[in-house]
Amino acid sequence: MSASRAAAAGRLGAGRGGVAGSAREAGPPRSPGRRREMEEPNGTGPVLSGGVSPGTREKTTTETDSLVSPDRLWNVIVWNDPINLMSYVTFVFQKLFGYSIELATKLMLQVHNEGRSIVASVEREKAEYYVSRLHQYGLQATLEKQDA
Amino acid sequence: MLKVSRRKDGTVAVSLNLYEALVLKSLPERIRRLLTDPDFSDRTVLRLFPRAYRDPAKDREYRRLLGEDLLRRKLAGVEAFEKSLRRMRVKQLRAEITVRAEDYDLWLGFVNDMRLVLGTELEIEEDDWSDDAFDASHPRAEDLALLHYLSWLEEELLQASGFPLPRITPPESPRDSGSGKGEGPADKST
Repeated sequence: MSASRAAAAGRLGAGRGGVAGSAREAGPPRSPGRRREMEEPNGTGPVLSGGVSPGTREKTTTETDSLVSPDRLWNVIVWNDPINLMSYVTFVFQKLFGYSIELATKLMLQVHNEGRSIVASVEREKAEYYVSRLHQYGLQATLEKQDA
Repeated sequence: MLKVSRRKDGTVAVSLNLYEALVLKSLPERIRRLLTDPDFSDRTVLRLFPRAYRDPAKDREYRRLLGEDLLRRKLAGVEAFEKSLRRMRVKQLRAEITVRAEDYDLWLGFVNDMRLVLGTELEIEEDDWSDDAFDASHPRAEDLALLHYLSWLEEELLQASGFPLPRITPPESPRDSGSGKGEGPADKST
């Protein structure tokens, strides 16, 4: 991923990324058209593997998700690419998954530093939906069955 | 000078020099050409329609089910961008483009798609392509310059998104021997 303006002076070292702690985090994002963008197949949020809470503002993990047996979960993977901006990728993670800026930044840096990141683990149909939305945003995303 | 701001009514105002606006006007055709009867063996087209599965059979099925949708969305972005440019207001050498709230995502998506097209055509494969001084001897220096310009436009658009942006601390560069003033939101404590 290409560094944003703030980091344009050099490559990022692992773990050097900080996260915003500004007042802008307070309150819901004032994005126009957000409601339309948040369209979900059935209104449930993604589950991150490893028990990480998505930290969403608009959606929380529902019972539906926790009742899905792990062998039916598919990982949504975002791959690093040199053109997408770090700030753009972080924006997409917040907007599409409802993740906090902290989690979105962490996942973005994982993509940047490690080449890929599992951004959600959900049922196959929903994973396909997320991948197609990520493709709409121009991110390189694939899905694969967990522990495949 | 490019300036992007969100108005109270939710629309986003992109204010720029008239000649910059004319550069933007040239862009939709470049993507439309790729999207009309797309050739999926072309790597630039493939960058706009990435693989979803490693398994080719599954990937074909995904494309069959969701490919049309993706194509429609990309074309909608081209149209939203074109439409807003047709409606731009010009006063002397300033142009003001209004991006309707409902078009913001399509608009941003178009700018990003355009960057992906340019970056793929320029065969950019390393993350550090924007780190160094601009290479005027590059065989496609104009497109590289355009890509940098669109990165700026995209950053400005993101500032007006209403979402917080990541704070990235640049590593200390041996080239910067100065005090590091004006480095943006770099956190000095890290």
